[in-house]
Amino acid sequence: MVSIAIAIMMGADSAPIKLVKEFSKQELPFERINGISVTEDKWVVGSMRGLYVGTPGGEWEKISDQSIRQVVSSRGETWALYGNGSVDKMDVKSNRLYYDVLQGAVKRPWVGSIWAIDNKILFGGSGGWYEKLGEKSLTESYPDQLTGKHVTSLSKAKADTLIGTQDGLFVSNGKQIKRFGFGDGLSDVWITSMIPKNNFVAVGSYNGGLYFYQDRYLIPVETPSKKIRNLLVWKSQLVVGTLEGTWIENGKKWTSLAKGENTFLSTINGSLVVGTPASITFFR
Amino acid sequence: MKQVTVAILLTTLPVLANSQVIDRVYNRDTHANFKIKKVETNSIIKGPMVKQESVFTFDNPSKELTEASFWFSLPAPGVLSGFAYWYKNEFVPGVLMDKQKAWFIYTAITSRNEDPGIMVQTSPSSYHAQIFPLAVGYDLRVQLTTLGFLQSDEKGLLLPEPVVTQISQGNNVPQVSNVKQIQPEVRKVVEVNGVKRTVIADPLTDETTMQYYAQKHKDGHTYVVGMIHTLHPEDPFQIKGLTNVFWARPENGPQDGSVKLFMGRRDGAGKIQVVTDSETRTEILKGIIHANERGTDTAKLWAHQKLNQTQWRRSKDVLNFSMKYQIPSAQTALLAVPTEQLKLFKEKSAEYERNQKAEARRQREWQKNRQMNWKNSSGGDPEIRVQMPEAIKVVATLPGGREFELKRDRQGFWGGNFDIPAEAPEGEYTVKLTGTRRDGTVFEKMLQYQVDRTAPTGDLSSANGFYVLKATETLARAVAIFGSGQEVNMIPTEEGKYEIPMSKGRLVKVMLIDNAHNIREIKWSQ
Repeated sequence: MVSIAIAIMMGADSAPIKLVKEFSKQELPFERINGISVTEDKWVVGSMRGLYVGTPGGEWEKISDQSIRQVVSSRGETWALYGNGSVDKMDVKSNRLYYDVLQGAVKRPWVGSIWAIDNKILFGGSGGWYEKLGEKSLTESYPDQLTGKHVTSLSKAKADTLIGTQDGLFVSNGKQIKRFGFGDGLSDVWITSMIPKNNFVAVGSYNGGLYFYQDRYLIPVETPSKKIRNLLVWKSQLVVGTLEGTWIENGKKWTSLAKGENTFLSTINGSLVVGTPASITFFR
Repeated sequence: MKQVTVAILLTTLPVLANSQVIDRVYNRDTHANFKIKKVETNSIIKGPMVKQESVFTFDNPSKELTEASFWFSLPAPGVLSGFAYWYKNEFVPGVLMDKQKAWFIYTAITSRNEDPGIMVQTSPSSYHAQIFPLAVGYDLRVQLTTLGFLQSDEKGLLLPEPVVTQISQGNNVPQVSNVKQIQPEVRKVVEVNGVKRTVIADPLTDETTMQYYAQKHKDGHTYVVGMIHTLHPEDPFQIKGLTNVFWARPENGPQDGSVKLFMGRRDGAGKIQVVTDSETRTEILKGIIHANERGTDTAKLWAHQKLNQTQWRRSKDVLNFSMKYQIPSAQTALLAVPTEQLKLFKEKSAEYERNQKAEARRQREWQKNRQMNWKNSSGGDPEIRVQMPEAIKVVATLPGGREFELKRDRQGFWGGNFDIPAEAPEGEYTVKLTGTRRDGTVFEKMLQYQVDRTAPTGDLSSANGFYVLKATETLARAVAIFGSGQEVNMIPTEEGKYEIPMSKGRLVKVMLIDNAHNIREIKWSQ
């Protein structure tokens, strides 16, 4: 069953991955970077010690000294998620900072995760999630089934919204919500990350490995580590960031990109960026 | 309704007054008094209420940068409605704001030798302003706008006049008083204690008289202020037709209660009654409130009383209340910034707001349960949060020897994130926290954390109609999975032991989850 699923869903052999640059501590003098976004020549770096804007090797302006959990970029806007659950929006081009943007804008402004999917920004909150499309459109959903649960990841599959929590995967079609848990084959109900790829959604769990979700079924996928932290699709290949290293799908195999805990994955100007507590590496 | 404007020049000043009292104005460097040159007051009388706008002009002989200190008081139940000064020839009004914010901006601007003015309330009836630096070659001119009441005297209702201590001590300085009165009209100038005073109304001879004035506030309520003059000061008085009524006595008026001041509010127009019902007599005075004038003056007088007569639980509530009614309190200050400094003012104002929000955010951070943070369980970047109230600085030393400085929030907690490497061996670790006291001495506190990547184990059996799990450690939870796909948390019965009735269904497996979220699956095989 497992091997069949992998054979069906993993892609063909890909072009070799080339390491472009590994940034030194002098260039990016930050402890544990949890997210980066680049707009023209300006970098936004979110780290354990705060949020900074600048250029590698140059001057850095400190935006905040508080811990950053995620930096997400979409349609010219950069979103920074703080460890305390608040969110800043930055328009780096015009050098504008929109402070704590969800405070007062939504019923429960605490955010656990941010996801850029298609043209939307999705915020995983406490007991629900928010979807932002454009400047003024913000919808909030607090279904009863999510009461008391923190939404750790979000994704879309056709008309369904996939909601990852620390207590299972929930799939909403707008009318009904179905929960996937241990009884549905998950080895761990703590969902850490999700990413759509082709006709399925890759679903990562904290300690129970990777699954592919398609048409209301979950199929386990072999990965070098079961402690999934971040997922990304880059050049049609699935990249898996775990507590024990980062790998990229390469045909039916996994190719190692970095050792140690993965802190974030992102694409910048076509390059794949892999973060670990000790390094930031660009691949092309 | 008649309006009369009168200008009188007073060459001497009253000693007793129910108005602005300028206690002292001096150079903060030399402590020399600034010499008063002129006082000009514009008064508007509405019923028993008096609104006065006074400009105090002082000679500024200094050829160097100096800071003026301006102390004044406003006898109860008066309220300060505005503060302004002139920077060179520019009129600079004060803006009421959070006191902390005002000082943050004032300090930032004055550190550049530039010129704002700040006024704070030092008691409900005392104020202090400081202005730095005074523009060389220009007089020090300060404007105060206040709200109060007419002063009851045996010669009639008197117009309050500002008192400047320097003038009272014998300096002959022109004091101009312009009066704009809306019913009743000005009658005459009389001498009270050897001082010329303007009488607004004849002495009150009825057993009880009432004067009142109402304004509709933007919050929708109509605020009413009133004065009762009675020959029966000991009788109980009750106001009907108003809610939230506060009573006050004039600080400089009769202290036997023959003059009673009240402030209350109602919704819209209607009747007002003053009722006295004692054993010996009953008296009812009636009036109509039209609520057709919009304004904030009566609301300020009411709010000032409420502020001072209410027990407030939180300083934030005081701040919000002050800001709503735009009246000074212990939590606010009036900051006046010239146009030249507005850019810096805006920058500093934004910086303060950012700092406040960052602080609020930091406090929110502490309110979160870190176990719920999905990135910060086994490995990751968990947070430290400790109370070390004596410390002025706290440094954390991690197990590898690396150090970082913790930050303090307003509640006195020191905090910060640190990294637990994914490759760190399992076991217990200690973070050393070194606090430095104000006197330079240091003290330490130890913080332990556990790195645990081993899944828990246990034995699954059945006994007495229960599925029984005996785990090797205390679990975060044990989840029983039945053939139907149903998940049910097993019930802890004693240390490491969990049970669930067999009647729940056909057991397939149990998931053991420890506190570091390590998981083991045990299949049911009997």
